[in-house]
Amino acid sequence: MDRDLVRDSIPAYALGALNADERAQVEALLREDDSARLLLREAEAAASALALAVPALTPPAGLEERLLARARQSRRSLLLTRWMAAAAVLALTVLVLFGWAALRQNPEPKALYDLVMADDGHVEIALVPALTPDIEGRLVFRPSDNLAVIEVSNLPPIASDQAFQLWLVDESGPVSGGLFRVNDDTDYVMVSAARPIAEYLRFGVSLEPATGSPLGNRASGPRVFSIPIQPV
Amino acid sequence: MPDRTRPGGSDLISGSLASVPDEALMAQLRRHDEAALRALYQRYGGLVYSIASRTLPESQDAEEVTQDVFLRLWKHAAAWDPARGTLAAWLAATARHAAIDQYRRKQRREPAPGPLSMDEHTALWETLVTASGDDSDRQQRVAAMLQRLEAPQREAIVLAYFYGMAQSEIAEHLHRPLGTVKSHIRQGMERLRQIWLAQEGTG
Repeated sequence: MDRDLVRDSIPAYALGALNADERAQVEALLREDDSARLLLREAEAAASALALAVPALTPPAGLEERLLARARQSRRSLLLTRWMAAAAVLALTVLVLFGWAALRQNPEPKALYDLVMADDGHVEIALVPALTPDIEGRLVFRPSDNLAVIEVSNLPPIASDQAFQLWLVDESGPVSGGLFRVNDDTDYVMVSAARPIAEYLRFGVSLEPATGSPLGNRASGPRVFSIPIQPV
Repeated sequence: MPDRTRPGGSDLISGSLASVPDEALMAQLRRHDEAALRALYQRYGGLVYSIASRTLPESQDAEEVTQDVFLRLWKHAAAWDPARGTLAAWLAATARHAAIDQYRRKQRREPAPGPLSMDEHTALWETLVTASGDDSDRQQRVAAMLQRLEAPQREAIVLAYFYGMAQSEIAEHLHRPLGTVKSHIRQGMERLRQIWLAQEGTG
């Protein structure tokens, strides 16, 4: 795309109103153009001022005490959570050693998702549905991290002898990222890769037998959705 | 509808913590000091709740987001990096992201029978730009700044900023050509940027 057109998209980038391809083009310009970075900083400052213009409300009475009660409950389970996190990291390390990289069904993917979303430098890429049109979600990550989280909704129900299989695709082809199942309406799938997430070409998910694709490092079942990480 | 009064939550910031700087409260929060969480909520609960309510008109949803934002701070205090901005800015951004997430989830679970009511949005926006009373000077300056935008520019910007819509979604939602929406956002944001720069320059 024309450099001036990309530059014109910087205000929309500051608002978070670009799609994945447009975002990638703006980020490429930002990497090499000081004046574009200055324009972005000013646009972000103007955008952040919008938050100050919301009608001022007083939180309902009782919200403070409910918050503090939840914080106390959270504190009580903190040691247990830390132990679970340590166990999850250990399990993840073992899985990575065996070429498996996805973990779920524990509190960590949502916690990681929250952390990534709180980082101003995070990247969000919308998934492209394939199996059914109503599948929705996105991949969120920080560009330099090897960890990412897929937030996904409306995955179709699957049989007990089936699983979703994640594929991480780079220049050398696909590698299995692990198997997962989803029970809730919206769920979070943690992805741990061998390289920074931004270096992959795309991720994909296929529907496979519960033990994984019989073809090894290639999907055997239908594509469920894909996530284009780098523009084609 | 929630009570529209003043920003900043309760006036009853208790004891000596009322004047403690954010950085010191955050240091206490990292040690899971409940008094620090209470003081931060009393300082910024109104801001977070107001931002959540802008996207989520149901008070129950805005309350849930407000609790989630402060619990995120409680559990992951290190997520705020003072070198990258003020705590208020971090909380505002986190509240906006969380509210947009909640809005999208609700839309998936309970899709609106038709497009979002722009009449309702416009009414909320008008409330926004005419906010007055005991609001801060800065808030009034921002409101005045927004009044200087043309209505289609405001509409497009508010849908992007508070509802997380991409330009293509805004075009579909407003039944306007994509190129028109892009122009409205570009021109509106440029105008906001220029006004903001002028106001920052004059203090």
